Amino acid sequence: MSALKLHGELDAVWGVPRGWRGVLTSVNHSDLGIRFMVAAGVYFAIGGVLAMMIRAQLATPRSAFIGPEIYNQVFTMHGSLMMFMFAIPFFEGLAMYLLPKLLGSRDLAFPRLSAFGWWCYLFGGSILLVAMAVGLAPDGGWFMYTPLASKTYTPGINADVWLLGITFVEISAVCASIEITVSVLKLRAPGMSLGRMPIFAWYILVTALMMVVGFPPLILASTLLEIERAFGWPFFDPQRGGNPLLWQHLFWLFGHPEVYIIFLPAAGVVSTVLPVMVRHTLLGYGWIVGSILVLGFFSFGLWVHHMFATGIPHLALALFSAASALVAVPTVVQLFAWLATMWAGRPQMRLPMLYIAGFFFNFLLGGLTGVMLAIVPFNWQVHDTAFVTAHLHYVLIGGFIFPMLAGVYYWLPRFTARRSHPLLGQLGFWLIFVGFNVTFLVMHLTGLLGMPRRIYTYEPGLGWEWPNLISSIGSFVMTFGFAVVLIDGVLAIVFGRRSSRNPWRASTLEWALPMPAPSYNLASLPHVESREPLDRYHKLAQSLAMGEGYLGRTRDGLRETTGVEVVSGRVSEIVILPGNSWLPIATAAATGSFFLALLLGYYWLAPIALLGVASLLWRWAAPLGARADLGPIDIGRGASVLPHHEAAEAPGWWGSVFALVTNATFFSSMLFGYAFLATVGPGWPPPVMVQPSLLAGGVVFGAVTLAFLAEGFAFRRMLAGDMGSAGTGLVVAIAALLICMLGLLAFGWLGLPSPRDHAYGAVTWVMLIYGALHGFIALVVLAFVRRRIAAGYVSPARMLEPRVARLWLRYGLAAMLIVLAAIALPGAASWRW
Amino acid sequence: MALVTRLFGGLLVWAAGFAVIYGAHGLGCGLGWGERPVLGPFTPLNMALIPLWLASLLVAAWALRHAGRDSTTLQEPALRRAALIGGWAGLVGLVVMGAPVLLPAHCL
Amino acid sequence: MLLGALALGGCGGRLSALDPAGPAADSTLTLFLILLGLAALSFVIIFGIFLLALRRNRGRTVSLRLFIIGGGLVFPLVLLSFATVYGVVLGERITGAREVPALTVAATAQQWRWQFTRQTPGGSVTRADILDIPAGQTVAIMVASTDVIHAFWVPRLAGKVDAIPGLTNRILIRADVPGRYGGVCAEFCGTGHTGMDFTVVAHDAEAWAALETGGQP
Repeated sequence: MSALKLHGELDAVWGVPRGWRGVLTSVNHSDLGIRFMVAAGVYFAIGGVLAMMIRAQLATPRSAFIGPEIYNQVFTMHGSLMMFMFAIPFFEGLAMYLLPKLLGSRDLAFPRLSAFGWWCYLFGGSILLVAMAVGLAPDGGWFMYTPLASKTYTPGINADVWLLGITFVEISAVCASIEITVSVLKLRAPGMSLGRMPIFAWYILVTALMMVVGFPPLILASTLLEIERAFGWPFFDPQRGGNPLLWQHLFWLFGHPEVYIIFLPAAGVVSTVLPVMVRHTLLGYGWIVGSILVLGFFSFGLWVHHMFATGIPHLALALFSAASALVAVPTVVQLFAWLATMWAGRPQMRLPMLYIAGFFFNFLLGGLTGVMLAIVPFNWQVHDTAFVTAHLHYVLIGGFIFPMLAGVYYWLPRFTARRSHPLLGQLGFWLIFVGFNVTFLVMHLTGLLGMPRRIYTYEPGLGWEWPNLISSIGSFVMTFGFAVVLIDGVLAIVFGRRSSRNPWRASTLEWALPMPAPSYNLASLPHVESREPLDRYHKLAQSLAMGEGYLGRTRDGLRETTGVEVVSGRVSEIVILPGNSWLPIATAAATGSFFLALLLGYYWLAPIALLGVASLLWRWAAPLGARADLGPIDIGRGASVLPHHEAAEAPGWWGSVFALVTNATFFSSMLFGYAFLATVGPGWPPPVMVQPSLLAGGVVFGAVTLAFLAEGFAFRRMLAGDMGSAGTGLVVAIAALLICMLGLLAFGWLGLPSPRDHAYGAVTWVMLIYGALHGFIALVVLAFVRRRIAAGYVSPARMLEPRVARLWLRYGLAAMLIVLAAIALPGAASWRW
Repeated sequence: MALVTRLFGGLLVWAAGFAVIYGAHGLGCGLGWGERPVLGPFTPLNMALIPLWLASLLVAAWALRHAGRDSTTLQEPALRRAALIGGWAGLVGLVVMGAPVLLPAHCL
Repeated sequence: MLLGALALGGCGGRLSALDPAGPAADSTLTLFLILLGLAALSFVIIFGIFLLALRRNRGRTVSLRLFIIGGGLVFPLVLLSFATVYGVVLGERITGAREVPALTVAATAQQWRWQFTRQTPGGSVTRADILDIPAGQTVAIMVASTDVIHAFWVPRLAGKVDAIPGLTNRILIRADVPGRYGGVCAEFCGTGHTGMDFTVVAHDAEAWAALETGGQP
């Protein structure tokens, strides 16, 4: 078959319809990745304008440019936009765009989920922007500390905009994290074992895993605070048994890993681009993989260093101080692996390398002040001053923007098939580099001279005038630099000369694709035998284009790519991906109406919106799967494997595993909050505790057991091909789940105090509702399987859906039992004594 | 599952140990164990935390012994090296981050 | 630039942590200067290697072990251990768990002012935004809040501690010489955050005795 004919056939299967329909229904990872990056760039520009307003205001003492009300909105939005709307979506977009190309796959594991995440991001961001345009932007700081952000002290809608808007966007981040994790683990070219993965994929894998467990604490905190604001349940109100520090613990339990979540993808860009620029293989691959795993873990043990001044006992501060210092080590290991690679290679000072040099300089300074801040007495002195502002900008601009700009220039030919002009690029670099250092180096001194953060003006005579003026001048220089980079990019897209296929002579697979990238990525998938596949096969790209690799054909108009065993990379299944769809945008719109209903106070509308989401999700799952057993299918190069719905561990199963890990982290954070309030009060033990109803508790326990056994029976009957009895078993399990839910709610109704009087009632009711909700989810999932059995989608060979349902069922049952125990046992103990 | 324990077993031990020490510290302060010294400058809080710390070190050392040994799950040298680094990091991490429990413990 | 500014004496000011007037702020400044020295050393070494490596135009074999174990592990571990131990020991001293203060003052923050209350022989005395202390003596400030979170910070005397509703935090301060020291609320607390400052007045022994027996400051 000729390459051109193959291209036509594949493009017909993978392509996107023209016009608006294509824009709204596309699930293609390249489209969505670019959209994420462009939108993130727009938010960066908006955040940058806000930063300019801050610097204009602070340039001189007693400035009358903006007052405190507006200033508070400006710095809150600057922080929130840069963190949630720029940094995270930008690297998500880069990862979405690059991963399938680097891994030799045709798309990500759950293409509709990427699209859903995109629309959530767009809609959630719009809520924030509209609020800002009408002057109702959040004004409690990007950290939203309670009780300042509670209803008493922020009665307006401003705080709700933050809580709901950001949570909406976080749904997008969690979706992306699950999608990326599963894609890296499962959707690779045959032969690409974990140890042969491009290093960027490792970085993104660790980042995504960190997001899977890092975001739930913040989502929980936002949910609790919104419940407190909307319904008066006290979680953070010290007068009713709540504790304002609970917010800080949950926020920083997310917020510190967040810094590494932002840094790791950028370090991944350095590890990818630097070896190409110095023309030598990356040295210390195993060391780097180990280091980023260590970073991923250690970064969860540092959150208290944002709370050194909150009066936590000094012993605990010492534990976290040691952790905060030690976390520098894996980063230094990476620095020295890069230095070793440079030492062994022959560096070329091209534009991406220039940005990497800027990264080394700035990030090193930021890291060193970070170590200084880890030392408790120094932290007490400079915490909440301009010194910290300077430090965090060195880390985030030095450690994220500089490497990402290196990456943007490196992959510009990949994105646009064109090259930029080096001179304008260099001008942009020097303006940004000089402007950045002029702005932020002196800001360390401003902080030491005693200038606190978040003040909108200051008096003359404190020694703050000239450092502030220097910072403001520098910030405008830096802005010019970013403008030059933008112009350079636009000029390259419009007038740039066409790029060759592999302009940097790199050795990773994304450069094997034609320019520009086709909708299906590779016309056939390679067999990967080393970490640098393009080195060994000079003719690889042509051979793949001719269809000589795996899956170099189309079958029944299906979107096919290869799935592999996680560790060995041996091909294990054909993954059949869903095509373009209206479902993502419709589901995101339904989710958005849920958040809008809460934001505007139409609480009756919220359950209706949720039902809409649930019914759309039902339709979401329906078109997947098959009604007949196909057996092994030929994939070319003499191999044949099963389609994914007949395989043991399909991507969908893994996706559910990671969704449940996220969910379990959410639940654990809730249990942590319960334990935290119970230990440090104030106002605990509560005046009234649960009067456990043995009857209701016994009914829940019995029904949980029954649901577990009935589903086990149904599963075994399905494996035996006896679908009739299996259906009956599922009906029994569904009935038992209904009893579980009602029993759990009855248990609360009979025994728990009101959730409005004391944090005890609030937190136990929230746990109870969580348990009941998971009973309901399990119920829906089992009902879905029952429908699928009736429609002929389940056979002893096609057990994917029952296996996924089993995960959700067991999680739901465990959650209900834990909730019951966590509420009843302390209650029973107090009752007896 | 084998991949999880083989590749970052030591780090999981670190996470558990750190959480237990910090949790026990919070609980001990809540119960007033740090208020007065009983043995030299040391308080009952020290008596509770030091054994927990030593126990976590033992578990981390055990995890390190097993990290990187298994060659059936992790056939590639790079992965074995990563696993070994994780094991060492778990142990060193607990030694360093837990060492402050040797200070005379109080809750101020 | 920092050192240059220090040398020029441009580091004074009512709120400057670089111009300490009490033992806590003084030892913290020493700590800062040591950390700054170590940081400068590390920066010169690592960025120096980077610049040297950049100038190479032919590849050479490198000892990965030397780079990673020597540079990546031993080098930071030595410096970090020193800094952390130093910090923890100093932190213990500043916390002063076993120290008995000469005076205890209750500092209550609310949007957007401070109330300082102390017990005198003539009963309890409360002043708004002015904290009277005896110079040369250690004073415990019991910091609390009645509404949102604030932070008590007198840069020339000591680090800061948060004022959190529902909790009382203790911080020890001492002014070595009599005088007036600026204090601010360091934790963002709403639209009046900027103006929420106060003054610590350290009195000499004579003035303090007069104050204690009911004199006006």
